Amino acid sequence: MSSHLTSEQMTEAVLGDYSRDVGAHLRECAACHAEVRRWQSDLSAFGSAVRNWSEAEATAAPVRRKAARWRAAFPRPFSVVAVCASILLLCVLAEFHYFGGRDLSRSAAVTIAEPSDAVLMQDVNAELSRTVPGPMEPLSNPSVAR
Amino acid sequence: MVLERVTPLATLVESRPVADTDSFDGAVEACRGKIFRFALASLRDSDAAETIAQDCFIKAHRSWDTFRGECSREAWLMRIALNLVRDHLRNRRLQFWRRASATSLPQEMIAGVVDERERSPEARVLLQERVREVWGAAAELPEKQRTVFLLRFVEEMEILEIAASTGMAEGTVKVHLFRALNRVRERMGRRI
Repeated sequence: MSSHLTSEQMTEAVLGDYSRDVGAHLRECAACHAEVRRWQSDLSAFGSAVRNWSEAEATAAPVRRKAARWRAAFPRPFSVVAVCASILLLCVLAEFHYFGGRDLSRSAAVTIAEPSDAVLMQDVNAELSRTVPGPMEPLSNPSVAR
Repeated sequence: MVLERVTPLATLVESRPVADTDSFDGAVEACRGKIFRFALASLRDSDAAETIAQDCFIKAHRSWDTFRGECSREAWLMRIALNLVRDHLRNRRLQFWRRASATSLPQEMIAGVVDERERSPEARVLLQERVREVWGAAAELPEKQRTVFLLRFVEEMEILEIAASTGMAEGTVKVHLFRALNRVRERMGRRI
């Protein structure tokens, strides 16, 4: 046999399906033996990498399925409307919760302030019912003023 | 210096736990992982792989009673999955832009690849790099060669099992496997 295995013989050796000659060469040639071992190790690592990955993906699959079902059940336009409605509801509740008390006190204050408002309105009515503006009143009847 | 020979089929079959593939539920239980894994390795898309696995069992359920028993249930299911994967690949043949992402190796895939015995960071990086190269080379294999390659090195199936699952003759499987391995080796660069 020549100095090293041919590519075909190497492949046969990696597959474990080799002739007696190839076997004999592998026992004698450390380089070819190392190459075949390296190949077997690479392919074995490749296989376990894919299996690990597949296992991880299979574990993640139910979570993805659930998410997909949720997305399918609640399409985007509906979910946007739902979110907006929720925000609006929260705002209304917050308004009642935080400002409801103040509104009551405000209405009480309005009730208390009511007489002064009435007085003010009377003044306004009196002002409007004047025939001449206030500053010009002394001029309309000069005998009264002096 | 003794190289590891491939385990004989009889020993392999005996050592495997016996799965109840006669009932539909048993077959799903026994083969689901395998079919998902094969579809994932072939398509490199977990959503598509999941769809393939589901479609495979739907098809199997529809024709469960018409199974003629020419091969094992497992091989029959695997054949259905192979056809579905093939159809899927044909349908997306024009989507060549997906190829770039399909050939890149998922980071999580190589995370657990390192053997406990290989503790040094250099050995770890080297092994991960070699796995990455095999992954890239496998992506460029023609469809039949890739199928046989994945069934052999991921599913660790024997030639006879691959032949039963793919419907190919034993000799044809050997030729495809031989060519696939040669191509991958060419791509990765020979040392000798």
